[in-house]
Amino acid sequence: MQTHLATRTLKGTQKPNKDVQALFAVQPNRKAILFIHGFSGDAIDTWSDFHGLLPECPKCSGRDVFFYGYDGLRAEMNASAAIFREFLDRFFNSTKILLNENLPLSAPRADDFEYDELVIVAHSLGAVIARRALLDATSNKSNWVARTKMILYAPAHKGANVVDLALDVASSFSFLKVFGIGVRFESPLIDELKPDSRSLKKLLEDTKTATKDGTNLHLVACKVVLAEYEKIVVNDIFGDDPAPYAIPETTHTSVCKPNRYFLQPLSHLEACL
Amino acid sequence: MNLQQANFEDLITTYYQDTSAHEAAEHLVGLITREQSQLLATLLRDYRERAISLPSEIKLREAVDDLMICCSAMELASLIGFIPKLQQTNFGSKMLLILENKYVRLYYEEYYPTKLPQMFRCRLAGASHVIKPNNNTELYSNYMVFLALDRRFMEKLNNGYLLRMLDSFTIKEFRFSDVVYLLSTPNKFIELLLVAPGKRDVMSQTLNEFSLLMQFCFDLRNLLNLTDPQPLFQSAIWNHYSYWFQIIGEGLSEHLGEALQQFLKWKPEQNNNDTIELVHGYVIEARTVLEELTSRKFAAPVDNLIKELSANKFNPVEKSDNSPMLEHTDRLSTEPKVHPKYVDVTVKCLCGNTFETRSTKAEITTEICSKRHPYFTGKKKKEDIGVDGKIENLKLKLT
Repeated sequence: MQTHLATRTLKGTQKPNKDVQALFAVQPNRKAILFIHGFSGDAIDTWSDFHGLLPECPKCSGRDVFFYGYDGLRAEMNASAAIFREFLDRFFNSTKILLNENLPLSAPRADDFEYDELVIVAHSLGAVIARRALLDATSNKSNWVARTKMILYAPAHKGANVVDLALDVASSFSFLKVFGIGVRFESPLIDELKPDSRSLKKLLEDTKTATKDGTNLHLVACKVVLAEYEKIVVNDIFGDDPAPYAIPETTHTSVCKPNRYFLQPLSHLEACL
Repeated sequence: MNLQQANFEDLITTYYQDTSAHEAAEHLVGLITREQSQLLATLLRDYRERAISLPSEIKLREAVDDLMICCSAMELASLIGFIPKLQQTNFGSKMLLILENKYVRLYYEEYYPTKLPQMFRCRLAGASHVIKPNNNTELYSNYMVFLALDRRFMEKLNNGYLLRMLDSFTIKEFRFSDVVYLLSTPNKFIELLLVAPGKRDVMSQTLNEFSLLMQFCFDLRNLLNLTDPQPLFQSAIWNHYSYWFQIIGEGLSEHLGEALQQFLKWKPEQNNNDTIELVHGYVIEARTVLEELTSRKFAAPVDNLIKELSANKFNPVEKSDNSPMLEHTDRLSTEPKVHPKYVDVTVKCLCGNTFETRSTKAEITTEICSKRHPYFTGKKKKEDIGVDGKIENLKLKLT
């Protein structure tokens, strides 16, 4: 039984590393999942094989699935968050245009179709970008924020070693990091993701302010999933986030890569749907 | 919602409208309907007969290749019932007109023998081969993985520098041997890998594509393993990439193997054994994956189906003989006295090793093979002595 249409790149996003890929549900239930990758990641590859396994998961069968891409290597963090927030604005406020542009003529949606829920699944730097974007949208009084919730894999919001992170994810060669000592690498994220950086401190302060008195619960993660052998990000709890889960035998990059024989990353997501 | 029709619209956008396949189709239909057989024969000639060098010719041939990829993708989708039957559609009729043409067929059956367009031609002519799976959901799920993988291949590799270099092209004076040289030390390689996309030169772009291609090979192998219960589907997926893994597979495996071998020269700090093991482990696995993909391990189910179709009314030769285009005779006619037969042949090495391949020669003997060559055995190191100042030349180019 086919539950989703083929993967497609959303119109207007066909740029390297800035593409948004979509899997539209055959029988949509007005809910969606959006994946946002981390440092130097790729819209889909960071999450491989979520895109292959999700259509088989009963809880996902009616959900549209999006894989959001951005420049996770060079772009300044708050700028990436602002671009992501604008995308979410269009996603919720111009849903009909987005669907008309991207769905095949044989698969139209109802004129009044809109999304009631968006689960944002974020990895590493993606968690920082997503949280910043939701915070700013909350400040802007965007009414859609209450329809979102976050699930975070190995979030970098308490800081990360960016050079190690870059070497860890810049290629498919798992051994590269060992040899990368002393290579030249420049990125604004090196400073922005230091554990005591001004950007991360402000993120924490703003989140605490926004969620005090139990308000704006969309800014508190539904679930945080850590890697057992994490060597890149600091694993401290952020604000009012719940106590984390850890997946055994995983590293920073493998914690969000399920496959047919390793379904734990998918199970954690399923449990939140 | 008409799901099959929606799927077809998706595929036609991805493989036909968004590539140069539609331009090739219009061009070929024009030539066929105007019976301009000489132009067709020249455009689709065997490159070994006369090289393809004019930019306009290269562009058109690349468009024809896109069209063949489109046919291949449509066949794969039809095989599992992902799209509706195309026989009576405008698209199907147009493709049949093209695929039945004698010169087009020579192109995809003889010069670049790819199987899925052959199956697609038979399908459009009335054959109805489909896979009836035990588990439909798993089949569709694997197909979705294939589509995502193929999209990545098309967007990031198909028109990139690396595959062109592996296909014996020179890009702005760089060849694949230059890539191999850059892999001999870690620092330069890693620095080039980390160059931002907008600032990449030929070498940094090619090295990034090398990383992507290796990842693609691993992912394709994993997908092929997942499709073990559906051998015909598995074989069709592999055949979709047969240009790379079969037609030029031997060279591709050799070149990439040589590149991977460079990693073994890297010396970790304090000769850390764990790191050395990690690198060796990766190189061994990567070479195993390449060997698997470039072997004929996945070929049989599609080969057998083509034989079956040929034995029935879809026999390619008979079908072609009935075509009005065969009334025209010229130098590209497949007259038995003119063109050699491409046959299965056993290669015999002086060391006693033998292996199967296909060739126009009836028998092949060789003095060295992968059983004995130090590159494959790893027993001797190939010393790079910089003959003819090639290394110096490369250094000059890079500075």
